Amino acid sequence: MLKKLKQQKAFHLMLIPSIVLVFIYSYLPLYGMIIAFQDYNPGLGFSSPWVGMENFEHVFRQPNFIRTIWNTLYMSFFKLIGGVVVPVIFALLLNEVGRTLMKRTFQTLVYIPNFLSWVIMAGIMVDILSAEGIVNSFLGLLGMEPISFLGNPSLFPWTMIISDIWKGFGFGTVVYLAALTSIDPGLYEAALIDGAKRWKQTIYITLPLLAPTIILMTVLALGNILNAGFDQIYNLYSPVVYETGDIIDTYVYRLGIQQAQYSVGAAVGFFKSIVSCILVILSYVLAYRVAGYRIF
Amino acid sequence: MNKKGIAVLVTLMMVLLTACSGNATGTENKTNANGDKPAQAVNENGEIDYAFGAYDETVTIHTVRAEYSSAQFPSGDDMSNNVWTRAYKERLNIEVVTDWVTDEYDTKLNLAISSNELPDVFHVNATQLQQLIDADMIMDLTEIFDTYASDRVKGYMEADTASYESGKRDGKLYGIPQMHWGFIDQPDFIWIRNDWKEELGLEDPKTMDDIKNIALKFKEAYGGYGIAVDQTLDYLNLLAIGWGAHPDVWLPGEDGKLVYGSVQPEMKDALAAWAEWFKLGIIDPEFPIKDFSAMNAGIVSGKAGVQPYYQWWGYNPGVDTVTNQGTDAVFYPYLIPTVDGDIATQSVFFANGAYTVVNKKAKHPEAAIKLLNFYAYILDEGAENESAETLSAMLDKDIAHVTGAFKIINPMTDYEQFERVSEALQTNDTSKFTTSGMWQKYNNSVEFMKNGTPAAVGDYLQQGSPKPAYGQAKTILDNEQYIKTAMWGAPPKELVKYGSTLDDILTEGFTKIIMGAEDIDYFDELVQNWHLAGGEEATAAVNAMYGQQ
Repeated sequence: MLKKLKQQKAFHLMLIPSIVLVFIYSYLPLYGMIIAFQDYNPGLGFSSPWVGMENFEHVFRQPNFIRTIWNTLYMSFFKLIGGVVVPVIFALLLNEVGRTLMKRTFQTLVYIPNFLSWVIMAGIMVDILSAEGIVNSFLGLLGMEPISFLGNPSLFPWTMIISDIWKGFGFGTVVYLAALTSIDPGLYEAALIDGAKRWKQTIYITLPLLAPTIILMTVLALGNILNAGFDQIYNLYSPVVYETGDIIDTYVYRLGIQQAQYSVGAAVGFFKSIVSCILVILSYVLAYRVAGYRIF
Repeated sequence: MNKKGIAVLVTLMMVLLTACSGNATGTENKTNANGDKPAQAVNENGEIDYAFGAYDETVTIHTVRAEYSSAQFPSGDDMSNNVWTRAYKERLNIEVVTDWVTDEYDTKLNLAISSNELPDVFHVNATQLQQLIDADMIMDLTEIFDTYASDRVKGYMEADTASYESGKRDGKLYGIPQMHWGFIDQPDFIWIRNDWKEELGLEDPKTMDDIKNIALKFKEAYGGYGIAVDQTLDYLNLLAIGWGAHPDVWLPGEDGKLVYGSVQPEMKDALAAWAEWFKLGIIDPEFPIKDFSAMNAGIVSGKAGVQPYYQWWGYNPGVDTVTNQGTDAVFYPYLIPTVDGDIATQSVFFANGAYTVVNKKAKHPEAAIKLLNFYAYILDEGAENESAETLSAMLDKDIAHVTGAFKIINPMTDYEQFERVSEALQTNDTSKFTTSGMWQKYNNSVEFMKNGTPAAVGDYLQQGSPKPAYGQAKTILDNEQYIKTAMWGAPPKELVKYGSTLDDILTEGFTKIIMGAEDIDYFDELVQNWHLAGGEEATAAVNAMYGQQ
């Protein structure tokens, strides 16, 4: 062990800067979480008066807080499912496209929305989905009444889910395409000799070999399940859709951050971190037990 | 071996580099914070001129500023070096150093407060003022203000004593309120498109039903949707006073205790009427998803001819409306009527947004007062005593607003300005003008009447039109036909801790009632929810802090 360490001394030294940086920027600020248990006054800093669990109680006592948890989980869950299924299918289809130029073009095209910020996307969506927007004009041609995608509480979550998947699936596609190219072509040749057609090849070779990547992406995404997309929802919601569209982050923004109440914000952040951490650990264990796959 | 050696070297260098740069910024900050030099105030005519006397030796004070992006500086100038800072140096021998400029002022200032890197003089909001007093970080200015403040500045305080009191705690003055342009800018109006109104031969609105009928006629004749409002309900709520409701106002209830206007029974009457209007199609059917700019886009594109709005309609969306729809498409303001045909009692809110405060460790707190005196002098007396060029350089193109902590406004400014401007417009005698603001309002009003220049329509509709917004607001003030909110200062902690969520409950519920998704009786349930969600606690706290006892 020691001998090995000595041999790799140079490499360990090279790690030092990044460890120092991670320590400074990721671990030291953890100390700031104590303000979740204080009545924070910027003038008093970390020596603000202690209030125990009062900030947590305050947030959880809010009658509307529970529905925001539900809304968050609801939208997150479907975003997560769609965010796995859609890019996998698209990558598989794209992989079947023979011509490289076409493949590359599509790959780039679906990746582009990923680079647009939600502030810009929201502006475009509001226009597209308005009563006189392109979508409703089209529906009008089919003889339908205009639909209020952003103003109808029962449609709003799905508008969010679908647009989020649409915006983000390019990234997943690129990852899965990369995983697909690393599959040994010899396996397909062998399968072909055994008489397996495209469909069977996909089921028995491609998907099993893609599974580790899918699991990895899903587990990483699970850590974000309490983030249903602040940027997106904040830029698109309105009071009329609060009942189905208000998520933890937007609610806490209006409850605390807007008025510079850092303690409340810290309390909710702390709560979310704990839940996310538990979810990541759980999914890690599950991935190992069920699929026999170690991520880290 | 060699390669490894290089790798180690590079690594060490990187560590050193990060360490060095960290150190460098650290020391720089320190020198900045302690750069003051002592100096003395000078005698003038034998007496010490506390208010305007220049220092013998240069006094340096540090401040911080919020970006003011609409100011158009001459080239080479910026927020921290401009005509004002040069004037401070030349006339008072005060060197004002700006530690930082930001467009996220509150956040950055909170950071500076928590890391105890405060400048000498800075401006804060009402909540920050309370926090700084709690933390014992700012100076008691009571005596310094008495000694150094000019009579003019003291006069401002007398003109709005309630705001002056809001800067005090236990009788000690900690924050000097920067005041506001005056309550004349607070009454709200129903703005109605004039070319449509005349084409259809409609009368001025005298009751709420008249407004409904005008909107109906407009919709019939010109399509669109009648009344433009937005998702926050801030604009629709302006009409609530017609039913005797005062949303967002804390006012005495029947038993003398303070109650919140938005949850009073009068509000229910207003909502019931609006639900009917919505059914008739005269409230924008898409209002629940329209923000401020989408609401105004409807006006600019000619989809609506009625809009409840503040007195500054002419600036936005007025300019764009006239540009797109023509000069005749101006909207005129009408005082909001009651359902019975009277003029409604208006709501007046606490208007003091900022306080100038001085760091407890500052060596020259009086310099801040001198700079405030100077600002008040330039704004109020500049036109009599200064050259036109000097004044224009300091005030025009929004340069008047770049002074950050060294800003104080005469709360009678707009009132006096309107009096003189409207008089001059009738008599063509401009000899009584004392401020550059009067000239600007006058010239723009004349410009719009002569040439219909869209950019001038804001000042015209506010001051110079046949139905000027300020003319009507003035009658409200003169007749004292308004209710002042009892919460005259920072909101109590118990209210702040709910953020906007208490109002959100109401906005969400009101929207549902207006759209017909809920019955009008849902209002009672909503009020109940509001009380349970924290409204009760907030009401008690507001009573404890601002109630009569």
